[in-house]
Amino acid sequence: MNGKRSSVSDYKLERYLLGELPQEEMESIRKGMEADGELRDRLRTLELSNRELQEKYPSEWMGRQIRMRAEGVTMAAPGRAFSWRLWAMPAVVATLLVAVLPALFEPETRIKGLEPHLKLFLKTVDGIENLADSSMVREGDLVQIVYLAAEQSHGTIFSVDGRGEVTQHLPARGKLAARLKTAGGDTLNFSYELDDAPRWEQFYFITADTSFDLMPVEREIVRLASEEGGKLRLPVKFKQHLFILFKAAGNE
Amino acid sequence: MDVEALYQRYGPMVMRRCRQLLRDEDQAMDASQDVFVQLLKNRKRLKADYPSSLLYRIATNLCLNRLRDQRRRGETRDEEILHQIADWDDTEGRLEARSMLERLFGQQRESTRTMAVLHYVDGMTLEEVAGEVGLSVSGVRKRLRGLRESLRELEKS
Repeated sequence: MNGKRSSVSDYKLERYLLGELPQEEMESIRKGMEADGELRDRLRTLELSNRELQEKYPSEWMGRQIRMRAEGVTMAAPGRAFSWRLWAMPAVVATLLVAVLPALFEPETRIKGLEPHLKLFLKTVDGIENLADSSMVREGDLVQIVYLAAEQSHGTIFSVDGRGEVTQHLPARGKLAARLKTAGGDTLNFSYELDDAPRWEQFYFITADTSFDLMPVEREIVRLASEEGGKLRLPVKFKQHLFILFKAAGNE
Repeated sequence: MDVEALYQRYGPMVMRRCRQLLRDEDQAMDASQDVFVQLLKNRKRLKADYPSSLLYRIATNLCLNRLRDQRRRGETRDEEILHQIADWDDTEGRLEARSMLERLFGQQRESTRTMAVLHYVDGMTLEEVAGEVGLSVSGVRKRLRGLRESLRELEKS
């Protein structure tokens, strides 16, 4: 149980690099660095590692993930306009979807070659309306997302609105793709009320037959945020389905 | 609190710490996010002059808890001293989940396990550990003695 002893521990070196040691220690390490090539190498290694990590995990992406964890996806961080407001799924929507889902999915799962895709439902005063791709919707509409995995094991659902705001819907949080229900489809636990973002709401359903990191996917979505119907440049193992809802002006 | 700026500055250090203790990229990334979540949730009580010190200790604590949980679930590789420390029944830190933040934010005693990692794993001297956690050298020595004795008992059994 003999811990290794070094004149400058990794911890101290980290804080030296950040300039967060007391002045006396900063000076002592700085002097030590002049005479100690190994110490200089260790510092250089930290600097390189900083660059690698900042590139691999950009602070914008990490910041968003951290805020989502801290506040929960039901709360938008101050100053951040989500394109959707998250609502607990009303009992009536849940009940109706539970009733219609088996009918929607069971026949389809038996169709060979079926691709993974999304279905969106609109809650109306009369019940649930199945939205077609490119449907018109408006601010205040309450929408439910349902996916059909078509035997893909992992996936994610993002949306991007006409302001370019990106929202992660599935998984609710975290950086890895969600495990999908491969038999039949699944409905997300929440429905969403559309806000006043203009032009459109574009939903991306990205799937693969293995787990994957969400960051490259989100980067691609951010890259295409201002384009209508942009196809994400992703490796061939991914399947992608885009579902667009166009926004009507408030008085239409 | 500007999370992006905070992450930009301290994220790499936290990530390296989590990688070092967890030896798993995905878990390290996950734990790193949790470290900043803890900081965010308690930002009003943040009094540390040097956030790096606080973040390093939060990361250490979170990783130890994860290692202990993995061990309990039988998911982990066998990793000598670190797992022994993680598994150790830290009587001062018994109320781990509830009191960790109080300790870290200066209202309760620092976890002996954290001190043990700083000393036995990171190779910090007792003086350095004492300076880090705000205890006397004899205080740190005393706290670590109990852990050493427990580990010896474990080795015998």
